[in-house]
Amino acid sequence: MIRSARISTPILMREQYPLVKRVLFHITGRCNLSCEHCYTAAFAEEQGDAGVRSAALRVAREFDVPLDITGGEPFVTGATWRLLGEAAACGVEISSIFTNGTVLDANRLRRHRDLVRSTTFYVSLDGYLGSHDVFRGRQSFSRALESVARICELGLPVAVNTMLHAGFGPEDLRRLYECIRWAGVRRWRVDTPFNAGRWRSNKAVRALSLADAFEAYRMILRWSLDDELPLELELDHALKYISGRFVYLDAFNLDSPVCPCRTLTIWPDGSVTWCQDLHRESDVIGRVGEDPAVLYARYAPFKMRTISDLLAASPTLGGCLDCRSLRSCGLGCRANAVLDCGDELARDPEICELHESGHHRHLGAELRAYAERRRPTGHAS
Amino acid sequence: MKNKADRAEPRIAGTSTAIHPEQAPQDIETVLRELRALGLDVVPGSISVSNKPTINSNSGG
Repeated sequence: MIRSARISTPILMREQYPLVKRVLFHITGRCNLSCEHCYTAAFAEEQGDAGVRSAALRVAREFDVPLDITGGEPFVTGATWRLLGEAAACGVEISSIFTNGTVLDANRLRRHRDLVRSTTFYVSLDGYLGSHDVFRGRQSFSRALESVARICELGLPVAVNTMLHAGFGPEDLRRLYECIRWAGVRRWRVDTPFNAGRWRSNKAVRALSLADAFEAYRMILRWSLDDELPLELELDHALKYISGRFVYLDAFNLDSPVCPCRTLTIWPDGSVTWCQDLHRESDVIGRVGEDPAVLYARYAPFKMRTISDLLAASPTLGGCLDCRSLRSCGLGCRANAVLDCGDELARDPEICELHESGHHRHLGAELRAYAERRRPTGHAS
Repeated sequence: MKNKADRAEPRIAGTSTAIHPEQAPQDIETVLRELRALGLDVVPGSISVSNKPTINSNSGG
């Protein structure tokens, strides 16, 4: 078991920083929907067979980490149900399943409930009624919302993933908030799509401006604060509310790793990549059936690379040293650099825009207003 | 007066280039400090709980 693999930098050793925190398994590339922002075009017909499933479980077991299941749509294949039983048999925790919620068999889920008691179901809702359906497919909203309700009724944790887009206005955003709040959803994650797959050609028409996206986040935060925070939140790359605590922006130092998302990713064809959002040939570090220690040896350098390392290696990031946002942007996301600029050593233009625009300050202002409202009257200023 | 070695001046490993305090995003630090003073439980993200994009991405996280 590869439990002792730790990053060697002293500052990180102090924090006991395992480089693999989870294994993300794309069990299939197939999907019953054809969403405007879908990233799966490259592997749409691929499906992990029993050998890939077994090897994926072996990897999770070796690293002693949970396995997360995604796709495509995991529930278009019976293999996902089989995987739940196989994982339980070998002691691997399934921590998350990412689903569009439209083909989830509630009766089958009820029969498998004991296998998923610690699993969070992440259901995608990208609008309310028509604004969701135009983005994801006809009648997909009602079926997905029905799944959310059924999963919640079974007492299983549900999170909703929402991608903002131009067809999704403030009124629908409010309706969606009310819907998922009353359904008992535990966490709402709201973001804009990655620049990959179909979104590359659709974003020119479908994308929101950053200013509009942050206005949506501000509204969500205000509604939640007004309702005394009925659910956890993740709002873009600026704010989380998790376990009763707010996490506002980031604070890094030069020894911090550039990629703190420590996810080993397995694709339907059995290839393994160091990044969960990159699947170029150069991102593949091996095959899932290989010795996990060998995979780890190829994977670890990507996760040990520090902000200093990247500054030294990149011919274009030198100017970041003079940027006042360096400590909070941490040089952003390498997947964004590749997807937006075609170069892993380039700037992440999205994180630059976020910090240069200062839109995140609107969220800070909402938090301040909330905190001031909660102060006892007569409190000295 | 502190001597030079006592100054906590962060440097980029392997270079002589320093990150100067005035380059830090003071406004964010100020916001956090003020929110805490108002009684809010708020921290900046870190390598453990980060707001970096891939952690939020729709394919997992």
